[in-house]
Amino acid sequence: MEAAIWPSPDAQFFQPWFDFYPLFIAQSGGQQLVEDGEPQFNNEAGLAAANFWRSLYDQGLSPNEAYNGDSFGDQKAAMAIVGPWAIKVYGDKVEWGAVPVPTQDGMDASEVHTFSDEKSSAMYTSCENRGTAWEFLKFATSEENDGQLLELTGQMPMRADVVASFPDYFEANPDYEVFADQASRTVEVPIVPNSIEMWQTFRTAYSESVIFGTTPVEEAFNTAADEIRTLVGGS
Amino acid sequence: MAVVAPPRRGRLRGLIGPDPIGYAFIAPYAIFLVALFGYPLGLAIYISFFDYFFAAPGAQVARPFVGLSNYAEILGDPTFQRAILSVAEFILINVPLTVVLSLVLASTLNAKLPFRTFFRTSYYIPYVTAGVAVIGVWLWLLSRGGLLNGVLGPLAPDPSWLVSEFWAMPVIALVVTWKGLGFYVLLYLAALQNIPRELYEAAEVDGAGVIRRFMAITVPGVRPATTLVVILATIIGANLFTEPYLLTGGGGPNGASLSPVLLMYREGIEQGHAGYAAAIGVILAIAVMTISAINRFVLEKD
Repeated sequence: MEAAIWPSPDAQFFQPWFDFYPLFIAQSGGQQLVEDGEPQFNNEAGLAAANFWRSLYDQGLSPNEAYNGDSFGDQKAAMAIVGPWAIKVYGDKVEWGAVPVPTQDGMDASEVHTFSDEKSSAMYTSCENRGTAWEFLKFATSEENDGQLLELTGQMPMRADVVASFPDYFEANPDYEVFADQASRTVEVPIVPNSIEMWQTFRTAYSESVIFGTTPVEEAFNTAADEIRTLVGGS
Repeated sequence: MAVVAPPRRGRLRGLIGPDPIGYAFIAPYAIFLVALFGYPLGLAIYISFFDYFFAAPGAQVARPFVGLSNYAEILGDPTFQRAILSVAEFILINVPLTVVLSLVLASTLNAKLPFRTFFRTSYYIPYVTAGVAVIGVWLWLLSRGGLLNGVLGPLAPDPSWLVSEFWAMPVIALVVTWKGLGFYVLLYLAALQNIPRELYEAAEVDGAGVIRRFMAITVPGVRPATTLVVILATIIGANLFTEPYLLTGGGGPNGASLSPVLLMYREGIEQGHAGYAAAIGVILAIAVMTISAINRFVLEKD
């Protein structure tokens, strides 16, 4: 065992979804990175989540160097932030238990929000057969096919109440229930202009302050917040 | 004496040459070149003057003409400036090292060595192995708890190689040099076959040692190959992407190994700023062509 938890320290824009964002969402009671054009990550909850990660890097509990493989599966890290996909991946290979991500003052698990890394379908406005495409989307996300998705992959379908919709599945696969319960309290990435540039700006600030500690966290986050405010303003 | 105008047919002949069938032979490569290099290059230059946006086929989106503003923005962008300096550092380490190592290795492999074919093949293997697979091995060697630091013990740098802002780029330059070496050794091996053996014999009779023979015969003898190696290594180096993307986690630490092509990928493919990314590409292409022209001028003059 080399680490408490070993998220990827890489610089790609999407990496915050697997370290900072779930903890920020939990700590803030379900805020998005940006709400109504105003960055939220430099508020109290955001700084608490960032400083928590900073202390892990600082104490060497999370290495700032990438692990060449699956740190949790290889038993190099004691914990990992995962989704329900992990149940099939780790199965009996590792002795594991799952809990919602922690918060500063130990919020009750039934109140914790999280990031689901939702996958959505979209239709282009330039689509030539919109009626057919719409019917297909409805078919693909019908209750029957959502059940099939759950059955085959263990991924949580986007439904109001997953547990109540597929009671047989969760009775047969109780490991998935904690994830299904969380599925009712998920927060996604904000739908804003320049979304990826926004995440890259955030990651760069997070990288220099939290992962490598070359800039104070609050300073880096405030600078990034100013840049992001302009970006999501649509300019 | 009457002056007769040449017949029209003859003028056409003059234009297409005596053997028009030749065009049929060069056509496949010419088409390949135009379709896969000429057209994209032209398109990139075109895109770089617009606020271009990739959209679904058939979608109508605004792509206003912005003149040189993409270029102005890039040249003032500190991230781009840093990326240019990083790749310059890379080239300054990678190119001289490539030339020296591949020439020395090629001369050695040209001698009557036991297991010569084995060695020649060995040096070529990294070049034909997939970059991603090779990087897996280097990660294992260079990581904090890796083999290299295990050997170095207390001499290991802190922060370790791949997360040190000082070491990240030199380490990448070494890895890339090692990976490309086989190809350049091959170029030099071919060039060495053109140096007459008598020159070495004559020099030996005159009392020249191994080093003197290498400097006075081998180095000038393979000069055209050196020009080629320098230019190719510069072009390939300027297009650096895979190593900083995978070995140092997307140009890390803290952007210390971000290369212009990685920035281009980030801006153009990930963030949808196609015009901005295309302008980076055009600037890079102009820079590489300029450097190559200078290299050629310096290396080829007698």
